[in-house]
Amino acid sequence: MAETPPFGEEPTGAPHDHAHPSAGQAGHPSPPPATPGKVALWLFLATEVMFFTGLIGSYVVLRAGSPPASYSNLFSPGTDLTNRRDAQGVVLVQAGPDEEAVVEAIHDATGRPIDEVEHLVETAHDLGAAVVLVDSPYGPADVGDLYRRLQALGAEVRIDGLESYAWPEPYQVLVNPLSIDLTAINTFILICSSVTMVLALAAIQRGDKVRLSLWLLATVLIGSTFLGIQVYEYYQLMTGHHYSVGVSETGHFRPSVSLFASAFFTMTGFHGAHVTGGVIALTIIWLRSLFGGYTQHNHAPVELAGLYWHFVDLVWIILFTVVYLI
Amino acid sequence: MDPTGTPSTIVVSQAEHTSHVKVYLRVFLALLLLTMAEYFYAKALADASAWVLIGGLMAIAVVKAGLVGLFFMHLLFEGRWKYLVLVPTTFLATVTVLGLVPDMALPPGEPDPNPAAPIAAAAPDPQP
Repeated sequence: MAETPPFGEEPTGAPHDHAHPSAGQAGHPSPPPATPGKVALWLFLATEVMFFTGLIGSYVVLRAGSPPASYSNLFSPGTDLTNRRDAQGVVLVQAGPDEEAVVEAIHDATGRPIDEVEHLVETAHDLGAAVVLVDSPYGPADVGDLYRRLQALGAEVRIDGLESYAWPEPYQVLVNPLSIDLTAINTFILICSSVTMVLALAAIQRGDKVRLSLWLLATVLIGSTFLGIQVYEYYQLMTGHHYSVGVSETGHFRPSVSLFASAFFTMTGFHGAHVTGGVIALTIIWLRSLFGGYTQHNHAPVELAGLYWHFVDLVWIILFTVVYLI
Repeated sequence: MDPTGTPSTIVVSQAEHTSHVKVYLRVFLALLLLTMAEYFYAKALADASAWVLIGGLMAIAVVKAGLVGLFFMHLLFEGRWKYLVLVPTTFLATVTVLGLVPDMALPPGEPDPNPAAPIAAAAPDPQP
């Protein structure tokens, strides 16, 4: 009778008194074994598939059901645009050589605090454009005067009419603050971590404990880099940048500012929590590998953690497409 | 091996290992190229019709996810037990999303093509 293995371990086997099927003929490898641990993990992943399907399905419904003029380039999300069709806004593209004077001019014209205007000009520089003044029936403003003053200071500037959207589309910087370039790099980073993970498993399947530890460490570090970039992205969205009014009335992209923001943070936040769990699990496995915890014949935790890690990568591939690119 | 005689982990030879690593690196290269293709496709066709943009990007995403599942998660090499997990999950996930089609196909403000009968007549005003 085999002993019950410790919690978290696959059974290691013991001498037993019954025959079992052949493992396959030479040259015709049989499928790998369906161990209880692997089947259990796949069942867990099946529940995770349904969880993310629920999130993505909700996102699709929210997006498809969003009324046609829910977002606009000149007003904050959810503003009633019925009487604002003729509104115009000054859009700063580049501050030019005299950024201080540009900030001062915008401050004079809008009455907004200097540090807020500085942030806005900085964001216009980083993202490509920001609305700095809006003229509408409910808030008359001399957009022509500010336009001429900014032009005289060498700034690249234009006057835009009202454009409305049902949902913030990619590359529309006046309504959508998400950085596709940064996230594309982050996607590539997560894919790299999947490769190092699978190489770690391949190493221990061959009995190479040193390479197992090295590839696991690489996976942990690359996974942490992904998380670090996501934290940086969240920081820029919520605090670092001061976005155009079409993104948010307060200038910060936080879960409460729009349905788009709340859906974005829910989906990417849950995924980030999964990555965090994976990094913690892989760190524990890596530490154990340093003390020879896994052998060529006993490395089930490496395989199971790897399955989870690849699943997290797979989900991100879909989320990146659905949330950022479409 | 576990008590039923099933090996709990896989041991591979040097030759097998080398061939596995080659496959992994090819899949990695494919994922890298597909990610770049996705990025440029989205950028170049940002103003294209929704079907072209969404259809193309989702097709690339599904191929990428398939590569990860088939090769990195070893689904290509697993026994037939995988269908017990994958088929019901895929079926339920598909049904869940397809069940949302009416919500996606009927934008707000568009009249319902099959309006239901009024639930109840308006109640008479109470006596003064």
